[in-house]
Amino acid sequence: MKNFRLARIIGLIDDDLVTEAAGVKKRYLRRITRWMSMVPAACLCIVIIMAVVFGNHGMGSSAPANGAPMDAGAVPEAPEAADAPAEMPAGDAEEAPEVNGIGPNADPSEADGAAIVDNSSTFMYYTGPILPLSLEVYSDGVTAEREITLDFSPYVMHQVVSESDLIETYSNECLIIDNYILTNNTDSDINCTALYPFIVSFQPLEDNSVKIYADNAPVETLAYPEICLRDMDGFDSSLYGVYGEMSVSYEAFELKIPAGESVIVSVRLRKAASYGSEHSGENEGLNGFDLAAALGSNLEFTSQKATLEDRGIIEIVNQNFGFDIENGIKTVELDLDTERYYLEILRKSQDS
Amino acid sequence: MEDERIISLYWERNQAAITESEAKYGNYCMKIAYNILALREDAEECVSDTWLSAWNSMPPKRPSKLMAFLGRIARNGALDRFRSLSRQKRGGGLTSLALDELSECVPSRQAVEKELEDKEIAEIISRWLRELSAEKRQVFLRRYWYFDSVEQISGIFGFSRSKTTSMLHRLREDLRQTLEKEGIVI
Repeated sequence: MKNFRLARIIGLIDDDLVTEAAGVKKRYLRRITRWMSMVPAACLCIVIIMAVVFGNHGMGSSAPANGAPMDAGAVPEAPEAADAPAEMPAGDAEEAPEVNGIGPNADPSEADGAAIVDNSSTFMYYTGPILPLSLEVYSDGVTAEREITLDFSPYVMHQVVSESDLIETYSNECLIIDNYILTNNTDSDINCTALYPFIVSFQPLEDNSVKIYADNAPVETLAYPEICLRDMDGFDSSLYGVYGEMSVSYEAFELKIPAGESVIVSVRLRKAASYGSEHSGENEGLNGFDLAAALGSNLEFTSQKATLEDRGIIEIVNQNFGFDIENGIKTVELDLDTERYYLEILRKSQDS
Repeated sequence: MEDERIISLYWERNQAAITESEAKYGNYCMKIAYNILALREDAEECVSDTWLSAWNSMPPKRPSKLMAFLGRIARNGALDRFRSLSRQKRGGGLTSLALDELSECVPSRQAVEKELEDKEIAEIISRWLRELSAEKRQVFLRRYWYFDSVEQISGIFGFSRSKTTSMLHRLREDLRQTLEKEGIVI
């Protein structure tokens, strides 16, 4: 079979060409989304020019839509993980994406743009942020409200098989319930592809599936090629030292948002903690979780809230969310201009 | 973990090399194997074989790009498995289609013919690829190195299906002419 031999020969081409082709997605995805993100601005300019030229023509406002309350507890039992394999890492043209994080934080003074002022720790094993939902193509008429819950119910002793032995160990995973109300503010139905990004885990999770529901019904998802986190739209170079070379994968799914109505999208996934902090001497066992409010998303968020389900098993050492477990403040409004939220915790001792 | 460190683990005969390879490139290799085999179980076996093969190859090998090195092992393993399954009348479909397309690149026999080693022909193809625009080069490789479907490629590049198909057709024709100019026999 000559074609088979040719296929094998093509397999022998230079390595840099192979890795370049693996990383192709990020550039084109980015090009499309960037271009699309300019459309509303361009439209607005045209409207303003028209208004100036033709006089007193006000811009019509979109009809308000119904906003059904979100109920994290109403999410049905998770289905089996999707059967399709994950996509290849897009990576860098020259080098494969480095899945291991180098951890926070870079010296803000060395970065371009706005500096991140925070006191978060540097983790040797950094698992990256929880990222927000996005649409494949920007949709002018869609607004979003986000309510994310960090549920520490899995963060307990569990049994794992290790070399045929059953051993007990603490899990460092948190259940993330990331809910969105997507509202169509237009007079026409909107059919769109939604993308849920997540950091490619460098360590196996107890359950590494991302489960997604639309109005409580499981959705069929497709794996999307990975990109490098730094290539996401809205990535600020000041985040480089924090997020570095992490790879982002996507679950893509189709959504129909009827005119003037809302769809509730609920995502459930496990997130492993970052660990191995510089402060391990003083805070041994410190675990970190990060959240990006808007990074890489083209959704127009009207609000975001975060809820902590601490389950009485963690204590907060360091954070910028504003949780106060002792005083019962476990739900907080997030500032959409804050690039990065971090939560650093210790497991409460058994006898405390 | 950095590639250099993973390679060192192989050289140290440390089995963490396999764990780290799987964690970093498991999805990548799985994607390649699955594209070719379209059967999850077969693809998983193929990826498992990839780690074993890497273990047996390093040392003596010390690849400059671990990603391409592991991807190539997975690809070759999947192609061999695909061929075997095809003989058993299993498999087929999209990979057969891609392989059929490649037959268009096979040069017709000429008066001056060179029997080159596969590696030498691959070098000629690499040179040809480098002369293409980045976009064309990537389209070609997504199809014939990674065995992405035409639909997937169209989605990636934002092309219509017909644009992708016609671009691939022209690229195959261009490659055939290049190989013919070199007097290569496959």
